[in-house]
Amino acid sequence: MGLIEVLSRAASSRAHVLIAEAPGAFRERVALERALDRRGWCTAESVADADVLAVVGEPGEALADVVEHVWGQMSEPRTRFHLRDEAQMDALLSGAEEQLCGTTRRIAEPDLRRGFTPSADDMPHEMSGGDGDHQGHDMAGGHDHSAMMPDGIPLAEGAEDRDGLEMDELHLPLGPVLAHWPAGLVLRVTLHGDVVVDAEVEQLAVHAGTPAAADDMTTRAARLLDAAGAVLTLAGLPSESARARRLRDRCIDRDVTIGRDVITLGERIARRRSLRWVLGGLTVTGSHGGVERLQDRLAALFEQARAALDGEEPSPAIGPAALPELVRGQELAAVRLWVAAMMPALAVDDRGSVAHD
Amino acid sequence: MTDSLSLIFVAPVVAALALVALSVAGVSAALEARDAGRPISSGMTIPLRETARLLRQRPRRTVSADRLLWRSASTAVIPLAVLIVAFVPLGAHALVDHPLGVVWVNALDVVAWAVMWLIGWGANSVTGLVGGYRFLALAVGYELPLMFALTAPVIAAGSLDLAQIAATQDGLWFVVWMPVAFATYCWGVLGFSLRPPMDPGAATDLGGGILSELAGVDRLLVLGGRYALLVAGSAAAVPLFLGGGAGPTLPAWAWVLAKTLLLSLLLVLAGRRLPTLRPDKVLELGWVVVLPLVVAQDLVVATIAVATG
Repeated sequence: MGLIEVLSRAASSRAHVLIAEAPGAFRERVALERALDRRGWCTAESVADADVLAVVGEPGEALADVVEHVWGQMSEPRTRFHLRDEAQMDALLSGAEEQLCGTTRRIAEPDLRRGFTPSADDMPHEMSGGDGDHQGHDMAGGHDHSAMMPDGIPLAEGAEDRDGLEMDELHLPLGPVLAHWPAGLVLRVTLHGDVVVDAEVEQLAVHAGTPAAADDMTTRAARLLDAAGAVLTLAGLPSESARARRLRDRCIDRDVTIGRDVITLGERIARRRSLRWVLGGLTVTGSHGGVERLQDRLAALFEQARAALDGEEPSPAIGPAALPELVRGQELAAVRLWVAAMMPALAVDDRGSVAHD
Repeated sequence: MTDSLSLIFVAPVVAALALVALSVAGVSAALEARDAGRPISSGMTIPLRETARLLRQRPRRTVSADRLLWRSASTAVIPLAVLIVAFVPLGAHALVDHPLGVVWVNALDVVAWAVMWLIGWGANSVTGLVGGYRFLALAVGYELPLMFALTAPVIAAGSLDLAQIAATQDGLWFVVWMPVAFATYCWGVLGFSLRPPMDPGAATDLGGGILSELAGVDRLLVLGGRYALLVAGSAAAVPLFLGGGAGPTLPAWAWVLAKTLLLSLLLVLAGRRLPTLRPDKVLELGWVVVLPLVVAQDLVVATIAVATG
């Protein structure tokens, strides 16, 4: 028993947490991330990587369905909790650790669970199907789809890519349970290799009881710095990202004296030549027909955060409806960076209804 | 082949590889802990705790996965690293002393293409597949410069035997007068071990790319294998550029170990300083800048070799 216990203790002292953030639960999510840092835990980068599923805020029906689906894909030992109030944080995390530690490993067949990333396949409107259902349906239909639908998954269809070569078309929903991604946003992209050729956007409805309170200035600044941190993580600079998130945490703690530090960090990052070179060439055609560069958008996040701390008015939000046009023709990596950089602008629309594109 | 070390040494060499890989992973995790505002000491044990976690976690299957290729590819990463290390001379001799040692090392790093691609492809998942695509595109960018970089010490020593190459660097290490080839080689090592900044195939924006569907022991083998490949690549650099086992006082094998550890750590530190290089950037850098430079390096080395030979 001794060895297994030591192993279990060691394992559960380093849990990976997959966060499902409901719209409007920004502060709770930040509080959770800080608590994870204090414990030496970390966030999971995919469902396969997760031990703990943390639902933050009040998920609407659609998000709750996705959460159930994600839960079904996680490997044992696993546990989940629902964070509604920051005060419960420590109890919830300690409880999760106990649960993980106490689960003795069952020697059994590996799980056959539907693959793909968070929310990747079955979204609410097609929730009815697990694997078995798909197969059953096929048989009932009297057609032999097995050649076209191995294990219930349709084969990829071909289409011409931007160079006129035939490529497989792959469909990948981004969000809503995805790190460094706006809460409640789903972007269904069609891919040729790494390139997004088409996209549809959907914003999951918000839980009916969620009160609609406008951001105060520190929360607004925190959102901007959180987005900057997300961009830096996605760009592969975790240490700079950690700096941005530490400033975010100080905003959350209502420290309004950090304007100077925000500017310093923004300048420090703008000076990094390697980052400028890597982000160079990532542009979109802005709403006014002008070309907008990602590195300018990143610099603007710091500038706007400083402005928010000084009590200036926020810049106008853009609706998610603009996203499909913006991401078409971009590479997936660029799409993730752009959406992360636009998180604050999209989040202002948090409590809106379903957007139309 | 007749001069190869006895098989008794297999276990110590593999243990040393594991130990160096764990230390490098520990330092990397410690620096991450410092970023998060925790004490560095808490980070050093993270690789051990992660190992315990992944040993305990049940492996995962996806629908219609190519289980044979997926599993065998994720199992193959660590043996690949062990095979590279087997050709590295630990003094006068390696586990496998072969007159074509450099060719073997190069061939093994090309096998990494197949292994990494199959890990991404085998899971039958979009993110894994895109990660695989990215890795292959990246490999097109770094592999040719890497091959030309390997050529430089070979020309200078007039031999493809790693022990011979190490012995030729008597007094003057190759890194001193072929820095471009050395830097290019290191870049290639980061490439085939999928370490930052050469890791868009396993990047956060894809939920881990080729890693995104792996759980449990399968994931452990690939994560550990990436560190092992980094260490193996660094170990191969020791006879190629860093004078092999040459050094005062300590025995040759200890110098090989020390140089390997130091180079692996430097590569991890360099990776933390640089943003992820997307395949388009790697191709631009590899073919427009690095390839001409490293060919010029080969030319210089060849001229010197002919003039002094």
